[in-house]
Amino acid sequence: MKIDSRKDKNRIVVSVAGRMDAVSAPEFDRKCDELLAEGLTAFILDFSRLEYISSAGLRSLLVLGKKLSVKKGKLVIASVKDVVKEVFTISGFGAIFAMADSVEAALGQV
Amino acid sequence: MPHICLPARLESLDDFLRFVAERSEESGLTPRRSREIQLVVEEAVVNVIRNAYPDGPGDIELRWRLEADGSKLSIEVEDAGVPFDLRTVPEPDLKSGLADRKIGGLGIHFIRTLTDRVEHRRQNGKNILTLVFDRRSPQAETGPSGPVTTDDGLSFPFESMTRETFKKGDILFKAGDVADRMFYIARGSLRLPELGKVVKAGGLIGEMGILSPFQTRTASAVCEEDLEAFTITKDDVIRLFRQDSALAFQLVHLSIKRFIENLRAETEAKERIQSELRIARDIQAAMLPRIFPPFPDRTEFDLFALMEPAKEVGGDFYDFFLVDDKRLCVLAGDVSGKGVPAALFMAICKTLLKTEAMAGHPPAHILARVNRTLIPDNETMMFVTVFLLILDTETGEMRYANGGHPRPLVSAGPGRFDFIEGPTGTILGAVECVSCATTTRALKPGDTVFLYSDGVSEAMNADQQLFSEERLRAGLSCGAGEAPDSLIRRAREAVRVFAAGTPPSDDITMVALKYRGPKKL
Repeated sequence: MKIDSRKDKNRIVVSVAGRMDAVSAPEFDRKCDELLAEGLTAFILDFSRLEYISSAGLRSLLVLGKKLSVKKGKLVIASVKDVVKEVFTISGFGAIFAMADSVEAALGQV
Repeated sequence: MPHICLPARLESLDDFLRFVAERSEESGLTPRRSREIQLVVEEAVVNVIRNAYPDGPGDIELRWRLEADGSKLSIEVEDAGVPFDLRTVPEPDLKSGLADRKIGGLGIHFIRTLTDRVEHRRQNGKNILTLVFDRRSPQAETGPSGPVTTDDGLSFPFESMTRETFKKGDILFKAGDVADRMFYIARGSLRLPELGKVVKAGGLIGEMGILSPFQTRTASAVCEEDLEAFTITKDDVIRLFRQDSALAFQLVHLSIKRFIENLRAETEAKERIQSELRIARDIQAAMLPRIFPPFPDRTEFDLFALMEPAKEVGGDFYDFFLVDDKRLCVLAGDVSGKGVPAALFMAICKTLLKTEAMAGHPPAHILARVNRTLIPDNETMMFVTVFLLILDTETGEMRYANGGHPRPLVSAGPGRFDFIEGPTGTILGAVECVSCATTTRALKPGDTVFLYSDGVSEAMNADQQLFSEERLRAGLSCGAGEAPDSLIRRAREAVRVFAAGTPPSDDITMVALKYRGPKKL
């Protein structure tokens, strides 16, 4: 799994490439905690290059979502596809999180 | 048969999944299918890593069994840890929002949804979990080459759709749930219980919830057989509408068609209920003695009764019978509620009262004993008011008790009706301890007792005025010792005139008993 992040005004776009599974999810958690510690509260997750996500990955998203909710922040998940999209649908997570078709659309939401 | 055995630690996960990915590629599965299978294996393996070996290290063995004809793939996950059957874990709550959502159970949900079957056995101290994936036709593996077309002629581009599987008995959604996607049924069938409708392969459901202004499901959907469905989310549907207005039109057209069908089914169901109520009402009326005079050879008294049911089946009843050759029992009652349950409860009460009266108990005891019988099974919380009297036809002595019923009127001489003495008492069926005392009164020849239900006193006219007990008393008092049947007919007419067209909201019951004196020898 490879995580990149870039700031766009007061928003942080986090691109996750590869796989979020039980082994790599803790790394995602650490990265997000770093960004939260910097005071960022508007998160856009770019999943356009995410090939795979398991329940461990969903747990990380849920934790991030709850942490942001406490800070009255915002979280938008962009560009889920294939198996990742399937997982979001089956688990109902597509209904809990704000979803967007692209990072541009997500930036428009935040 | 390919297999791999590694320690049950998180560090082994990558190797397990790589094993699955390599075997999948060798078997010619698509990358997407391979990832689905890896997801299922990850959830099963992680579950073992977390739970199987609490006291020390242990191993996990994965076995890849592909049928020779390629029709079925079974992946076995074996551990020698504590006994555990994945299938016993309850379904997670998939409807709760961010604040309430827990992760627990989600992994197992994926396993259930993405496999065609899950088996478990415990053998020689080992847990063996078998994940079964049925191989589908090459077309189904990669997806239809063109758009997915439903029986109604709607076409959805395959890329927008997600494949989901469900097992027989699974609930896809419940009435009232938020509508987030539509389902195209590729294989299997499901039932919409509220509508009594079955949807088979080729059918499309869930469109109405998406288009409804309330965004909620109008009915539930339960799998009748194992189901393979392609789903499309509401957002994707909306996006498609922008691209393809012909599809939008078709979908709306289909929804309206379905809505009208549902409406028709509902109306038919309602009519069926109405005719059932009519039948219940007829049965109820037939249960009450309607032949007059009921005891022609008994010159000691005259008796007449009338019960007119309101539009819906109410709960009024009356009864009279000889307890022995000297004593006559007359009673009137009113069951709470309407409809068929009230009619059934009424039948029970009437029977209980007669049984206890025939055993020779005094009136207050009869009511107390009936109450004790009603209390234990009264889950539906139905109540009944009863007034019961027993007249000794030889002596004219009347003993009576009231269980919350409207107080009867009694004449003490022609043209003078008064409310009968004694407490109103407690209604039956509510509490264990009822207070219904037996009161005694000596009837003289010519005395008349008039029982009635609250449908009489509470009859309303167009100005929302009530007929009232007082008006009834005053009206009866205008007579001059007439016979019970004339008395009742006059009273009934008075209520009809008063109501002046307003239909009665409750049953109307009147019972009149006139004592003529002991039998002439």
